[in-house]
Amino acid sequence: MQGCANWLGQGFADGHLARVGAMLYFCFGARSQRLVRCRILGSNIEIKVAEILFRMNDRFLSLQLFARVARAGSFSVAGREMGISQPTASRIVAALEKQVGAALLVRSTRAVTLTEAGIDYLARVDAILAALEEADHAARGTGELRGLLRIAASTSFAVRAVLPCLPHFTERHPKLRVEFVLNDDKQDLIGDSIDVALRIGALADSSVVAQKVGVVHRVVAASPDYLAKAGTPRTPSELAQHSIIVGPAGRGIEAWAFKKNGKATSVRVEGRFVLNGGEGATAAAVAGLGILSAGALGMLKELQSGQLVRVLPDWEMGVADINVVLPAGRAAKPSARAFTEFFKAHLKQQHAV
Amino acid sequence: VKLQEQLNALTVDLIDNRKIPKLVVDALMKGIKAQTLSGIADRALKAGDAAPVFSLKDPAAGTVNSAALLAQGPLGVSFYRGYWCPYCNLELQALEAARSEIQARGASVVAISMQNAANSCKSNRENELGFPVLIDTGGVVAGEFGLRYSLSPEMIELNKSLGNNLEVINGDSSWSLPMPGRYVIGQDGIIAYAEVNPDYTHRPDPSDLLPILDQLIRATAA
Repeated sequence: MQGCANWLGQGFADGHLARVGAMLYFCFGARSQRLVRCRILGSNIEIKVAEILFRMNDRFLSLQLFARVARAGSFSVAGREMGISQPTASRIVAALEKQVGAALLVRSTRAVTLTEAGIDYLARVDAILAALEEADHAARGTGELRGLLRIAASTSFAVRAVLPCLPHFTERHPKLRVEFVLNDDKQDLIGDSIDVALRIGALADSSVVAQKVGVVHRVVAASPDYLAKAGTPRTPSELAQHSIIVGPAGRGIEAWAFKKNGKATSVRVEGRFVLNGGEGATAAAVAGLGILSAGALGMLKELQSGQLVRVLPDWEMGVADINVVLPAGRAAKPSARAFTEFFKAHLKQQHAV
Repeated sequence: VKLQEQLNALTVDLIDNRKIPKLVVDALMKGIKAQTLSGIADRALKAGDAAPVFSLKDPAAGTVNSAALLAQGPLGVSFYRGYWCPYCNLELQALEAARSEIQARGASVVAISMQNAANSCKSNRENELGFPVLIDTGGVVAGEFGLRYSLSPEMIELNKSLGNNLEVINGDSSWSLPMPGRYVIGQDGIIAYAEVNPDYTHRPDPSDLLPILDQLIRATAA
């Protein structure tokens, strides 16, 4: 505190209000609403931290806050993450908007959303913040990762493939914070400020940089109970007699395509149970609701334990690529790059995907 | 007896009883293998795809339109090579045997080849078929289904030596054929079932169509 006050004094003496504000923020962040009494060069100066934060010109702080507000859709959540109150967060972002000369956020009673200008601004700001992180990382020179890494993946893939191996990565970087955005729908990488996404299957978005890191075999499976009751299909066409579970990959017309000894057989199936999450689809199959076709990874445990058994095991359904996706148009964060390399090596080692 | 068992017996008979010389058998097998490896089966239309609408001549009954048939019920379509292919003949006979079961489900069935009218009549007559045998001149419809392929120079020579002069039989000089393919098209025009095999000695059993037709009936009733 003493050091801080001295530095503060110099700051005042030099008129570097912005740096003072930043320093105050880092010293008192969580208590920024209070009046803080500082003793500098023998005189008492009362400074309302919020006021300084409002007036100061710390672009990086306000940019960070703006990015968080945009992601969280809330001033109070973003403020809490950065240790400042909602009114302060709101005022800092308002000041930023004034400075930029454009409305970046739309504030309604329910949520805060990005304006069109805000979407574009966020993409550029993310690039700047990533570059700053890159500079810090390079300066440290130790390879130690810090800051925030936002990973997007489907719940199933995260729970079954990523989280179990994540300790090997994060143990090496104790100051790295990881946020997962778990969603079976494919996210907008830039709009959601995702640093790295793990996606299975074809990529619709061409504005991304994808790297194939492995494959998932598509298989058909059902619970032993279901098959005992409904019978086991011997050909793809017999699937038409069965109760079919459709997971998140299925949209619109659901058709399952098989190969066997060079012949291509495909069947349109009618989903009786439709689930928009892979975990839910697997659970539906385990519960004996019907026959599911999905990536083997999403039901590996259940197949190993015998809760599910493969149906039509000598018919190939092909593979889907596992892609690591980085948002295009900006350099990937050091942590996103390191995670990509780590995960690639991990999958190679596993080989069993 | 399942169709494939009959087809296997035919293959054994052709080879073991030397109805086709060993050298020719080897060349035919080589051709099948090359076709399989070419990945052509993956390019054919599949279940879930929209089926091309076609209007083709039946030498016995004028023009047959797929949309008109679909207005009445689901449609089974079998692409075959020609009267000269014994495997195709067994398949057409098996389809005829299953025709009543197919029609009992409100569906119709047609066979399509690139043969000219006279040879289509021959296929119809010799196999005693009770369903339309349509003429796909130049293989236009087979091409739309992604089934048509051009024969290699070696296969052209081989077929000539076997007496299968496709220029004469089909009445066009393209030296192309459809891969044998079986489709079921739903009344919404979407393919409900497809089986395509570059190995023409293997065909799906007609009984495979029945669960598909049952499902289409259920979907319509629902």
